[in-house]
Amino acid sequence: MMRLTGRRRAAAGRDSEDRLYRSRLDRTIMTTLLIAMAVLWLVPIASAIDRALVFNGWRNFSEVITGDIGGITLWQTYWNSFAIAALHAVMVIAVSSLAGYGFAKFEFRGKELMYYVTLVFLAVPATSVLVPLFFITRELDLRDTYLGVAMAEASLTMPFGVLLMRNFADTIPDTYIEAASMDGASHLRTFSGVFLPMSRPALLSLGSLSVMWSLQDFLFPALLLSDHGKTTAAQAVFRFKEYLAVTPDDIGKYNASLVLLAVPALVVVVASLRFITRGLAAGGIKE
Amino acid sequence: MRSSPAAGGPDVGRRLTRRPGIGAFAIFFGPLIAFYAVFYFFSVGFLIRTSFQKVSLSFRDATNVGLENYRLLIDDPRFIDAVRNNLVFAGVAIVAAMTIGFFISVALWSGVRGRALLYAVFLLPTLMPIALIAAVFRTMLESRFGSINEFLRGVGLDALAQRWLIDPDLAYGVIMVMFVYLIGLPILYYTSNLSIINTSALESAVLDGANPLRLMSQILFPIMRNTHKTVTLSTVLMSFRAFDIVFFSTGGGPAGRTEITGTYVYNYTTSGIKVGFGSAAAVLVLLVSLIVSAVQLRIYRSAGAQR
Amino acid sequence: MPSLALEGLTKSYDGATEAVSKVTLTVADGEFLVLLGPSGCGKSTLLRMIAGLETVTSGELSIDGRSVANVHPRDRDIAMVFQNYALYPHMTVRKNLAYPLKLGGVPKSERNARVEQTAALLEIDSELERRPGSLSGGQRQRVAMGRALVREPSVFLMDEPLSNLDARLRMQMRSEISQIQRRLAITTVYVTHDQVEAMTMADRVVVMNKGRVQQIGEPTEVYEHPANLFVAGFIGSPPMNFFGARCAGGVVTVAGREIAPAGTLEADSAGSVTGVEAVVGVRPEQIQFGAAGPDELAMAGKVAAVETLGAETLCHVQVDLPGVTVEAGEVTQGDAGANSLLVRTPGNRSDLSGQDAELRVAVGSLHVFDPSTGKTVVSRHGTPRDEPRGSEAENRRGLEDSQT
Ligand SMILES: Nc1ncnc2c1ncn2[C@@H]1O[C@H](COP(=O)(O)OP(=O)(O)OP(=O)(O)O)[C@@H](O)[C@H]1O
Ligand SMILES: [Mg+2]
Repeated sequence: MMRLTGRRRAAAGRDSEDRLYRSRLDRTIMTTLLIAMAVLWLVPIASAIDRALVFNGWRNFSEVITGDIGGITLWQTYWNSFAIAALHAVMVIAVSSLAGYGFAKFEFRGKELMYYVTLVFLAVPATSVLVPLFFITRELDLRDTYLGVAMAEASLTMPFGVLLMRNFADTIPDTYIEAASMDGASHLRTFSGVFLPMSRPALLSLGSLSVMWSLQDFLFPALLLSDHGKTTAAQAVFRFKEYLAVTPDDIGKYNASLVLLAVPALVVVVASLRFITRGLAAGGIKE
Repeated sequence: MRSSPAAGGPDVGRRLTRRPGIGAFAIFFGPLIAFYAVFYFFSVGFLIRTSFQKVSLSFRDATNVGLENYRLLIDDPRFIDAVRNNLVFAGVAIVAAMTIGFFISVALWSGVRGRALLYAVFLLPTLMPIALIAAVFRTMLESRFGSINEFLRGVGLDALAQRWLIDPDLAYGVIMVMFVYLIGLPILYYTSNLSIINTSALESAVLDGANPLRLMSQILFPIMRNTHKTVTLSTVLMSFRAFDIVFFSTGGGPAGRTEITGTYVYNYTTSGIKVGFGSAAAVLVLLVSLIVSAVQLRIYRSAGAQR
Repeated sequence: MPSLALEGLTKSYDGATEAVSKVTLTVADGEFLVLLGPSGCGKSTLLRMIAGLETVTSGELSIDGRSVANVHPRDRDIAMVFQNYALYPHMTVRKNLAYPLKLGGVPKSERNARVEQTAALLEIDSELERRPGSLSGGQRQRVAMGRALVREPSVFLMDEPLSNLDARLRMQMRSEISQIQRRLAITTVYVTHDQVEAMTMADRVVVMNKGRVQQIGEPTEVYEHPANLFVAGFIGSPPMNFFGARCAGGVVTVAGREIAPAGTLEADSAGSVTGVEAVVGVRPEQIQFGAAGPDELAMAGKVAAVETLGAETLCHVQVDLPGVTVEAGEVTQGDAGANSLLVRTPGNRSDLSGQDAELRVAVGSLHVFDPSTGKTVVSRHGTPRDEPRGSEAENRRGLEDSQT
């Protein structure tokens, strides 16, 4: 029995592989090409790790991990990054799940126009709104706070969040909303008791993406955080350079810090790659 | 008691439970509207206003200069170069996406061992902080201690060891390579669309004995037309957001050779003095991004209407 | 006091066409009312207006004497079972059942008691801790009913609740729903396009077409005395046979034989539209093989095709009567030439295939319709329901007679 299913699976696997190749040779050539490219793609990573070990070997790493670099430790940058990422994700999820529900389940005049206006800001470059965001954050007295950075980042993520949540909400049949309404739930109650639990997959995608984008962000921390103690991991790529890449001897330490600064994003991305790819695909190939 | 339809006229088929009251509307859209009011509508207004001013980052003592900033901007060859570079890099990225990215996606899709791992190798760099990737490229290409040159010298190819980031043309090439390197998103789009295409056309072509390259270029490539659009537009938009790539590798140099709009605007904004001028540049970049977004939305909408 | 009253209830989605048009009816306390009609006739729309899920364009709607047209669904004291059940996938069966009570502010202990009680009634008490995703179709259907019943609503609505089940389960749930409804004596409006469900479950049936009520009545009444061509053609499977007839001097005649007074028919200048003076309808089981008696109409024909269903046989008999084409209650083509009558006869009669046959039908079982308005002029008036149908021996004799 076991062997049968095993064999059948192997046959099915071969089926799906054979959709492009006439022969083994075809397959070998393609696979070789693919692996050669993958190796090319790994060169920068290999280089960084290799460089991180020059002069002092693993001591480069331990010094970066334990040391104080320009008034901040590596761990502190991790903490700062995650604090901002979490705030950012909470804000994006809260605002865009509410709006996504509204766009999908409400009917009112001008709804589609409003949705269109929301999405038009989907691709605003951060650099072009630096000036006003700096001004707003200053006026709100949120400079050098996690919240200020998270809000600035959320403003760029929000259109995508609304897009993702509305697309998902559209796939939830209206009858669930109607049933809840007949059961006596208000819209807010339906939202929290029925919609949000049913939206788990979308919320996981949006949450993972929000965290990831925040960890990727360099510009807003650089613009809004002047306090060295609040430096984020992405921002530290810049700041650590001043302290670590002074003499040629330090090159190992600087590269070690680059490798280590990748850790937060790497952990998040690897842990939630499924949700991230699903979310990106849903946002990009909306039909 | 007669129940009359609300406010006369034909009932337009709205469902009772779907018509939000003012309270429900406020709860569900209030946060979004507040957010947009501050971060987009106020922001854009503010940006437009500063673009007509001569002002510093303290925003005090602004003087109105009318269209002066825009005039200076259009006369600044560095800005024109930045826009051109932006387009060139976007073009390179699009071509790479539709060739290399497409090839990688199809090869992955057609089934290789370790598919998930290979996929991650191509995808992960895009999902990392770009600052980090760019910094790694920079140290890797550093002319004295960079690992590329050390490797070249190590194998006796000293002649090939170049001043990668100092020679303007080479630096330009390096930026292009980085745009190609960050090919993750197109691969993701192709991969997820490949998983839902109808393969019957492909199967009959395989039975006819077509070779893999021909299958890719003549059958799969045309089938993926809609994905090419997604890829193209998202790549263009990405290129306007690609500040970190340039800033952390060449910083826009040498001598402005690799400047893109992002670094251009950033430098004026953060220099703290010519903020009005920077704002004028920002307004133009913003305008372009909004137009591309609008085009993208139109394409999605008409694709949706066709279904 | 009627539990539910509709008066002139109308719904228009686009302002021009009416999906539901001037529906007036009342549902008595504890009654099981079935809305029956073809797809798109407005059944769901009507039900959803009662539920409060669609706004009312015009007309009046009251529950227990209280006008509710502008009342929110949750305040109407009604419950509904949806076609796709709409069970909350993230809640256990127990939580699904308890949810409406929780929202209604019912204290926890009472909530539990009512959930247990409802679950016992529907025999899902052993599934209370499971999620809907792991239940079978029939179980989900029960949970959906349970969630509606647990609130003890004054009106219970169901929109095609059995359409997602396979045939066997559908039959079983059909009788279970009827039983539960009778036991609880709960006013119910049930939507279906399956006439078997309507005939077996309903106290009264509302037959609808194109947004309008065609007839309201008990299932047997709707079957035996259809109000118009649409109902006559829609109810009954296999459907009623139609053929053309003449109408002159105040009487309707078929093949030269007077069958009924024309009544209002002549006054309407019958036939001006379609070229058919009168339409006569007869149900397949009312036609028998054999020589006609004094009160019977005789027809001669040839059995063109035979479908054997085991317990009974459907014979397509070619007869020399003017054909008419009736579609959705309207005569679309008059005098379609040769006509084929469907005859339903007990037992396996595959031997009839290709034979010449003599048919007889009691004149009292013929329905006469006005071809221009579709209205019934003369409804089947004789033929007590328990009169035995022609025995097999009789039928066989009739066949032999015609062969000689
Ligand atoms: N939301 C809507 N907007 C516009 N027209 C609608 C809407 N819902 C239904 N209609 C139209 O109203 C008419 C009646 O629809 P309804 O759903 O009530 O039919 P039904 O009898 O329930 O049919 P079915 O058996 O297929 O469920 C149809 O012509 C339908 O196209
Ligand atoms: Mg329906």
